[in-house]
Amino acid sequence: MKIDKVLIERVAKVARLNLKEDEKEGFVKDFKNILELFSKISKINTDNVELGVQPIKVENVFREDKIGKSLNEKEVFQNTNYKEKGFFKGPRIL
Amino acid sequence: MRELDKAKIGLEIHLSATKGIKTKLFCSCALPEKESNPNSHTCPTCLGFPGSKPVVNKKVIELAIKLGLALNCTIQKENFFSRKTYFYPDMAKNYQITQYESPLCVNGHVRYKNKVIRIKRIHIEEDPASIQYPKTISDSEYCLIDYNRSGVPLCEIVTEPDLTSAEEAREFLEYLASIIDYLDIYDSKNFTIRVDANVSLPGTKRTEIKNITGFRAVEKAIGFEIIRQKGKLRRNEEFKQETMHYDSSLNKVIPMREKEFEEDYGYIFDPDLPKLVIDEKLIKKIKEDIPELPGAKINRLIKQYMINEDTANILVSEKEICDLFEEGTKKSAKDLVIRLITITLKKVLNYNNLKLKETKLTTENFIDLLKMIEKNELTVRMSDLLLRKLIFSKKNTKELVKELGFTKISNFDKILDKILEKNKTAIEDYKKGNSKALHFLIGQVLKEAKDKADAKLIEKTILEKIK
Amino acid sequence: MKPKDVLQEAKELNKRYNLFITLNENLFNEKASPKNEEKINFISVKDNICTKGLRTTAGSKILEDYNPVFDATVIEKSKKAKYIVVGKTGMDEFGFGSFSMNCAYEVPKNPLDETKSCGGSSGGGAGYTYASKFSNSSIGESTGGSISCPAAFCAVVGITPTYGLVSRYGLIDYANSLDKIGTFGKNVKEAVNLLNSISGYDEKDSTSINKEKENYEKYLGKDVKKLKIGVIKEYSNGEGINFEVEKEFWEGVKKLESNGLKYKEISFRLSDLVLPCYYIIAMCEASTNLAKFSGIRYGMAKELKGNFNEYFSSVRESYFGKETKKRILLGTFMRMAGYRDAYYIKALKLRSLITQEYKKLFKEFDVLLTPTMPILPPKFAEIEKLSTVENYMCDILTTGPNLSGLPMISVPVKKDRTVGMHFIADHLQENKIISIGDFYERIR
Repeated sequence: MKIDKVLIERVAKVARLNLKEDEKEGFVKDFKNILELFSKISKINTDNVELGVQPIKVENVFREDKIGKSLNEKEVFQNTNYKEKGFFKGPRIL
Repeated sequence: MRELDKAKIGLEIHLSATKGIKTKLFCSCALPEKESNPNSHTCPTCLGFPGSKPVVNKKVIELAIKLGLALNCTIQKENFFSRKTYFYPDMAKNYQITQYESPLCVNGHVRYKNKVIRIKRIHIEEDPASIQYPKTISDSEYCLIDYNRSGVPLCEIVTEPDLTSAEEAREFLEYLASIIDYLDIYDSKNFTIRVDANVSLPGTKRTEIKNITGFRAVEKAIGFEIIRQKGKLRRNEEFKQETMHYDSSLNKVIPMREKEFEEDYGYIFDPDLPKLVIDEKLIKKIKEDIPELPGAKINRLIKQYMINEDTANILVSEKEICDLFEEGTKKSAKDLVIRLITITLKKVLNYNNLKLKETKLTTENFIDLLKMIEKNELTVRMSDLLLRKLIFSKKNTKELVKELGFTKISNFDKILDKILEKNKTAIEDYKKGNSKALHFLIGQVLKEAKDKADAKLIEKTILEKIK
Repeated sequence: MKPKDVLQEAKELNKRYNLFITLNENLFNEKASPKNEEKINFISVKDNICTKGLRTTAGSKILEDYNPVFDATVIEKSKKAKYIVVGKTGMDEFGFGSFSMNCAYEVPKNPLDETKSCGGSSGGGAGYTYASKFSNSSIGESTGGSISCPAAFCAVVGITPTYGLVSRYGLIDYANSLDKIGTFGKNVKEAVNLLNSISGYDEKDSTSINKEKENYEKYLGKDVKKLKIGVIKEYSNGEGINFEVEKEFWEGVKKLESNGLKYKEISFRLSDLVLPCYYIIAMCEASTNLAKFSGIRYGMAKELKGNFNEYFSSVRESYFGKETKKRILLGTFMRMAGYRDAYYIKALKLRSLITQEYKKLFKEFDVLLTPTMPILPPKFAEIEKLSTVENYMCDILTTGPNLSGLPMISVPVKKDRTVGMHFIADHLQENKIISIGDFYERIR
């Protein structure tokens, strides 16, 4: 696995982060150092080990199909000016 | 069709699990209706506000299991929810909570017209929001987003590429829709089923046509794509895997804009949501609730009533239609019931885009109608008209018969028969071309019928009878 | 204790130490009945916990103007118990850091020494709890040690409860399988009182533990001599630990021994793998949690120009800090196709192994003990010189129990001392850490 500017650019695109050129170089260095530390975990055998998605076992937590309160219009749009005729405004697709 | 020409078509059907369910998948917002004001059925969870958390609606799981069992799937005992991360304006969190990696149901099949279409998987996921544009999609500087749909529960049904033609795909979808109808899990008034179709021919690469609404549109889109691929084969052009969308107004399959890059969904198990462990007892209980489904019904009807497959298919198209048929044949002749249902009733329903359960026709009224026909109190035309009225009117058969003046006509029908019996020469005269003979006959009937009777009606009835 | 005085003091402390991002100017209007003034308690709250009507930023510029429309469950509960929120405290952006230096607003300074860090990421809350005459406890949050670390550095008590004991509804997520809300207190009793009020089952949080509510106060003043203590060798000796910290820690251990408690030094088999395991899971989850911040519906936005990819990328570039971008990039990378198995999946499996190791130790010991942090509170100038890896390595002692969701308490080794004694117990054994923490506080 090659850690270089191309990789950083690809990851940044997937994560929707614009990066400046010097930032990219900084992250290449960071990635190399940090992933070296993280790669330590490869040395331990984890065959047939269960995935620890949560630290404590939780199963089958449900909610009854009962209608609860929805937000009123003021609350829905409290934190944005990007609204029009009851819709949220967002960036265009094309 | 030669084996070489057969297309390979697989479908991904996005079905909103919206009947018999009141709230969304991960929050308690009421499910929206078509006319709901935008963003009126939303809360911090389905709006993706920071700090909000999902909690699974139990009913959705049960509903999805019901669907899986009806399609002969194996229900996976343990399954997870995952986060599928990608960015789009209709995404409340820019990740979708889905079961892509561990579907609830697997390895099912649908037996239809001697074909077996394999169901690869069914999984649960949340619907994104809906997007509109202030002008056209290409002219608009921004988009308008309504989160009412965000968080609505979806079952995604994925078939193996076992379908071999556009027509077959449509028929399969219609059949699948009837199963879904029988299960009563989908609200067609407020939601639409969206289909992705994967199409390839021997020697070509797979094309994915995304987000097609409507089964006829699916047929058209696939048909168009098959022709397009055949054309490329003939011209010896190169193929590549493509994603398209179907433009229904142009009736064309158009490539989606080349993306700048490929999204990487980076699936993780959703740490906010616990593992689902499905109990055998629950599966058994749900199985018991499943009504006799179209496939089994068709086989039974053919055997029990000795009808052909095409007739059986029409009767089975809606559960209520089949019930009407079975109740009807208890009291009346099978052929009469079949004719009334498959010809008259179906015509009216199709024309008005209605389901039987949405009309006012009751079994009781239908049976009264049948009785009158068998007692010869009604002509064919009268009975058809009466049936049409019963579909839309709250009144019962007897009331309608009176209102339409058919009571008089039922009497006059007997009179008419009597007159015709006595005036066989007049009938022959008319048949030879003497139109006056007809007027004579009509006059005779009018005279005999002391009640008012409609001359035009009489004329028509006479003509019918002397054919 | 009048609200006016509390607010006045908070403003002064804020001016000196930058402990708050937002002060509750409505303190005057909060329901405080004059007769029962003594019964009212004033608390601060870490700024990643939603407070309705009071700005909540999670230490980030991207939420600079964010006003939640709902209270987090812990806020609802604390209001019921007559706690009033003085303000929202300074923290590392989204919890990303151990020194609160990644705060996009003013960086909190340590009230015991202004040139030094409060610790992180709940730095402001620990600092205010130490410095205030009026407020004795604070609501904090820990993902990899963000309660324990500032507790140690600011010479206060920090309780990180079992994962799921306190509802996360309304907590702005860093890493959902690691985040826990907990408490700071001037002493164990204050931290426990607040914990009593905010803990308990919440149906709005699917990971909330459904059990009967416990009164944790009844574990104070207990005789703990029967508790067996295991001191983890790898974390209490040698080159990874500052020598002053090590010296004071062992003095504390000897104090316990001379008061009748038995301890044994034991080895933690996976001690060097805990830190990478934590960071991999934390960053992977964080990178998905932060995807929602893209300039629509809430948060800072820009002019709606360009297509959605351009717009999102521009907003996120402008309003996320450096460390945040770093963790998003790493987290995104480690769950991408082709790398996911080696990092994300491997780390999940390793977590199970680590938890198993702890469970093995808890068969023999009631409580595990280590120093809370491997270092003394560093000067800001020193922190700036640290490499990223050196920075992350400061979490070495706290990431283990946080990974496994174990309850833990940090108690200052001596009064006003910035070295912590870190007691850790098995799941849902808050009784043990509270009893022994309280006991230590009495005998130190």
